[in-house]
Amino acid sequence: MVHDTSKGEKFEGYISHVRYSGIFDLEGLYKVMIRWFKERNYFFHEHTYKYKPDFGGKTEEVKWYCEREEDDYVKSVILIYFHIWDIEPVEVIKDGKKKRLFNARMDIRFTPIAYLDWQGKWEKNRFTRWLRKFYHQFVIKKEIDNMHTDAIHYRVYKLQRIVKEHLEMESKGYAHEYVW
Amino acid sequence: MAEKKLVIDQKRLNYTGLFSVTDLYQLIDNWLREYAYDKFEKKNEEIVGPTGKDIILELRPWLKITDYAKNEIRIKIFMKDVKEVEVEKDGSKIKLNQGEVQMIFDGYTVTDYENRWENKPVFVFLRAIFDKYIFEFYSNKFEDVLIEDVNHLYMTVKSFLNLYRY
Repeated sequence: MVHDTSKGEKFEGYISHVRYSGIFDLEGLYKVMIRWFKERNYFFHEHTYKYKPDFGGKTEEVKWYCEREEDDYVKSVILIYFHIWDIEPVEVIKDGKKKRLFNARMDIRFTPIAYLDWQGKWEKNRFTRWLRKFYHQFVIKKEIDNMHTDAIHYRVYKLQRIVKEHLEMESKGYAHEYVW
Repeated sequence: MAEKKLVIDQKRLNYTGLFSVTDLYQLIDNWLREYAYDKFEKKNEEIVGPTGKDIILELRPWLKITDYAKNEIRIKIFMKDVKEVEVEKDGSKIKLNQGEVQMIFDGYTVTDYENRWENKPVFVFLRAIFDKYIFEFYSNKFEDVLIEDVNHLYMTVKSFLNLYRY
């Protein structure tokens, strides 16, 4: 996992996976995803890049940390973890042009997280921490569930739709497009 | 840990022939939206092979009933040797898929999903007593809703796949 130094209370959503095995444009996929984050004003950070040349095929591991300050109190974070095995470069002619693609197995893991009090203003002592906990559990509980964690949960599906479309996967489409 | 009760165990649906993977996926997605289920797509896997695509999907949508209980459906979809074919219908050519589909539906009721009654052994004991003797009437109602929802989804998918036969 990505080493996360954010302050505040962490609300981690459900982790989901997109897996693909076949020929695909890895460079194009990275570009599409980075563009998606930039368009939505996310601060994008490639935390880790690992490359292992093996005998059978190459392995790549990439970790992204993407964060956005929603307001002074709430911050949304999307962690992406790529694990790609058996990478073999292949040359394909598409629309009359030569293109360098990869034949590989890939697993992309998406983790949505919402941080409340991300500036750590309520972390000074035990009393303020208790007050924050009380505030989150009893005063704005519905707001956290229905607005903050839910919004980021569905935002991840929007990103997944882009990924699936790029990989030309069959199970694409998104009925919850206008939920958030 | 929240307590899970298995209400529907492995309701299966098998189909071989023509269908559209994208339409099937969108049908389930639309159904979940219509019935106010929160979407959770745990796994979406696609393996491109020489005989066609193998697709594995695992969806776990949930419906919050109260702050204490929620219904969860687990839908596992396995598609084997999915190929793209062109079919002529009413004089026009349309693109469809051909392959094998196996779907497994499970239904759970999940209680105390926020883990609020697990801090002390006394709480756990109290929860068990309340669940068994006092809230039984309500939990039965939740289960009825879950059974109805799973059956409806099952029938929706079944009639959708049957449409391709004719």
